[in-house]
Amino acid sequence: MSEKLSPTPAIELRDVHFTYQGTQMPALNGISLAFLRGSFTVVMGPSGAGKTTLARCINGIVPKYYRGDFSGDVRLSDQSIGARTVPENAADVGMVFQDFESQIFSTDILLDLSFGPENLGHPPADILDRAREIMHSLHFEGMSDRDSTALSGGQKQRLAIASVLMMHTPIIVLDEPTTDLDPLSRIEILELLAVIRRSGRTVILIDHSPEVALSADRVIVLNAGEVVADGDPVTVFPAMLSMPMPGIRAPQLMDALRRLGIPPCPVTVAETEALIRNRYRVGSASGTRESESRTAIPEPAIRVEGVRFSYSSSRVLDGIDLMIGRGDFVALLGRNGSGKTTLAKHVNGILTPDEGQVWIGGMPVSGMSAGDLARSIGYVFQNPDHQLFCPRIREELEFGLRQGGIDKSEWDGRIESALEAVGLTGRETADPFMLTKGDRQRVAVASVLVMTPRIIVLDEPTTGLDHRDQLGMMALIERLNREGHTIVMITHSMTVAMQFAKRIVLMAGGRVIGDGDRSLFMRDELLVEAGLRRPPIADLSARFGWIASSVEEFVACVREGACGGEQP
Amino acid sequence: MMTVYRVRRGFLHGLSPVTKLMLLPGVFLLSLLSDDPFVLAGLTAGLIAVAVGSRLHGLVWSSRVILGLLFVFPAVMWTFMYQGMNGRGFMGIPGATTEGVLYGSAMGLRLVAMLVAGLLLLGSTRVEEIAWGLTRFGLPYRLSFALTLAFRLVPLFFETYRTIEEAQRSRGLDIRRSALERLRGVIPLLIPVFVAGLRRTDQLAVALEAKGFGRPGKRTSVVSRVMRAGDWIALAATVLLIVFFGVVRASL
Repeated sequence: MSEKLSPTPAIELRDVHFTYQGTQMPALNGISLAFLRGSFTVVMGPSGAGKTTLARCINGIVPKYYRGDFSGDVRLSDQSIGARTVPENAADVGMVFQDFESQIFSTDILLDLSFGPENLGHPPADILDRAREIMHSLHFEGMSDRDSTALSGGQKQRLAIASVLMMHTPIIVLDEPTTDLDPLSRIEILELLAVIRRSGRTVILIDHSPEVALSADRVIVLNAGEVVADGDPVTVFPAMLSMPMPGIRAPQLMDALRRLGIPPCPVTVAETEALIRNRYRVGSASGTRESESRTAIPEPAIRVEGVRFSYSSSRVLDGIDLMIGRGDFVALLGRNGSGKTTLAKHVNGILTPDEGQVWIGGMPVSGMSAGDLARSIGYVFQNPDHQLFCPRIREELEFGLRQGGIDKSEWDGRIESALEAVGLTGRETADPFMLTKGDRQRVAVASVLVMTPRIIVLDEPTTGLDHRDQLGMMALIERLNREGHTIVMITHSMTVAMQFAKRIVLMAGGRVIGDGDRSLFMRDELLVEAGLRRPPIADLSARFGWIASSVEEFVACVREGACGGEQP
Repeated sequence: MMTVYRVRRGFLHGLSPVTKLMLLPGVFLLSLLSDDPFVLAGLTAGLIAVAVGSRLHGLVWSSRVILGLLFVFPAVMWTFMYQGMNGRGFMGIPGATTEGVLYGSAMGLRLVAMLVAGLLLLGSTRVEEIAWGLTRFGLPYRLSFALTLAFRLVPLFFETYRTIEEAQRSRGLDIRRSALERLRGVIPLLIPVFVAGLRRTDQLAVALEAKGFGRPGKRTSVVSRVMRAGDWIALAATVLLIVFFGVVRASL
């Protein structure tokens, strides 16, 4: 692919330095990069590495909107953008922001799709043709006049991407554009990007997934505002396997091969299977290796009986029956719009069912006050920014205590133990909005823990976090579960669900379509219905007859001989 | 539903935004030309008939409280304030006059007619169509966009309010109590909603420019509409009514 690329850089950054106003550490520290026309680059790096700032430089938002010390030069088609305005750059660079909601402001889907190309002066007939095409590709058919503020999170993210692709710019920069999408929708977006890249346009994608990076022409790894690796993924990843970087996960198949003593190179699942079978005698198992038989029926913490619920005229929950036992750890998975968040909002009383009833510890939710509910059930929202609003962490934690009428003498003790649980001891006076997203998520968890609820519901707790923060957050949730909290976690990540949850509930079309352990992921028809795609390591282990939740588990199984042994 | 606009296939939705932007001041002018409550009741009834014909009666009905207050307040006030020429009493109520009742009803109906006309415009025209319509009158696009920005921001603020309210309810904020307690419950919401709203409008400004808003050169629009027979008929009918009532008023 690389040899076909035109040698003229579409974008060039020359020794770019940028430090945001009010901060000491440079966000970008001497970045010099050239992006060839028609190339597909994936930019990776831990939180705070400078990925978003790099993207903002490419269309001039930094330094035009974000104040700070800027030096260096950014050139589009060999012209410095220093003298050009952001709207002028828009004809060359289409930009999908990480915060997709801020990009949607038109009355309906068609008008949102049209806004960019209208500004660029494209003929209306072309815009409408293109809109029809993209609505077909991204499942918005028949929805052109749908109110864009009333769409689900996943639909909004797809619309934000589509409205930028509509501008037909030669360069497209996407900053973590698929965080809220279910795995199948994510694959559809990546396939669409592949089509765009084949049409000769330059694509720069910021993403945490090394598997996505493997399909790129080039991968750039940033850390602390500097480029620490840059090149063909075929060379970058094997080098990174021997020198792992915090915040970046290794590609699962390559990691498995390396741990099994087979030279790692980018290969498909089938090729990896062949390489392993060549070296190891691996038998077939069935189901999961972990056999947590669920013989004893636990005392119910949450009971959902025949719940039906509609928004306007569309049915979102269509007869949900679910019992969650005390101390359980349930992962709720399903496509965007399958009803996961709506179900969770019924559990904490934010929504009231049209039919049916929800019970918490034997009490009907409809009969409980907001204070009672907050003491029984903690709800951690997907976006911590929606949950946090005080200038100090301590005040944030005091809010719930005050609302819940908790005696002041208990406050200090509760705040101390909540902060200790999330690893933020001593940070009481810090401003939550100055923390990283991972830490803000921790404050959000602490703000519910302070009420000592026995049940904690978490909506996508790992979204937008880098690998290190994801592991940290999941370790925290796992510990809370061990300490006796009942956990209900909504997630799109099968890896997270398999590694940490004791029980998997799959939803589609407002109904529960699967309920059990991770062996559910062996059933392809369920995965398709729930919009899921097995992660590579699960796909690989499925070929050996079981579902491995992690590379470590897979490798241990192959090595220990439970599934065979090393050939003599 | 957070926006006034309703997706319908009614009479008003089929008219050009340019026509509707002219009809609105036309209706305002008509309502000012007469002080006769029966004429204004006729005008209001006509507008409600248009609402029904355009399947926007639900929107008008959902505004019944504010419409009712708009009618009742001036009607009651003028009943006692307006003594009229003959000072004839009304149903023996001290201080109330028949002429006051008629004048007050006319004032109330005028406000109702104006609000219904406004609702019909916003219920049948997307803000982007209004912005485009304003450019047809020679307003620069950036100015038209700015004028309609408030309508775009209202749903965004409502959305932010709803999200933050849900987050706070889940942390124990009970807003389902008495009116006074509910009012007190709203206070902790105001600052985060305001801060989040500001942050969001800030991001909106960046997102707008990143999509080429304000770029030099010609802007196109997919909402352009040509004037059709229905537009001319609606305009002609309004003009005729204005002329008729103008002549009637001049002859009084």
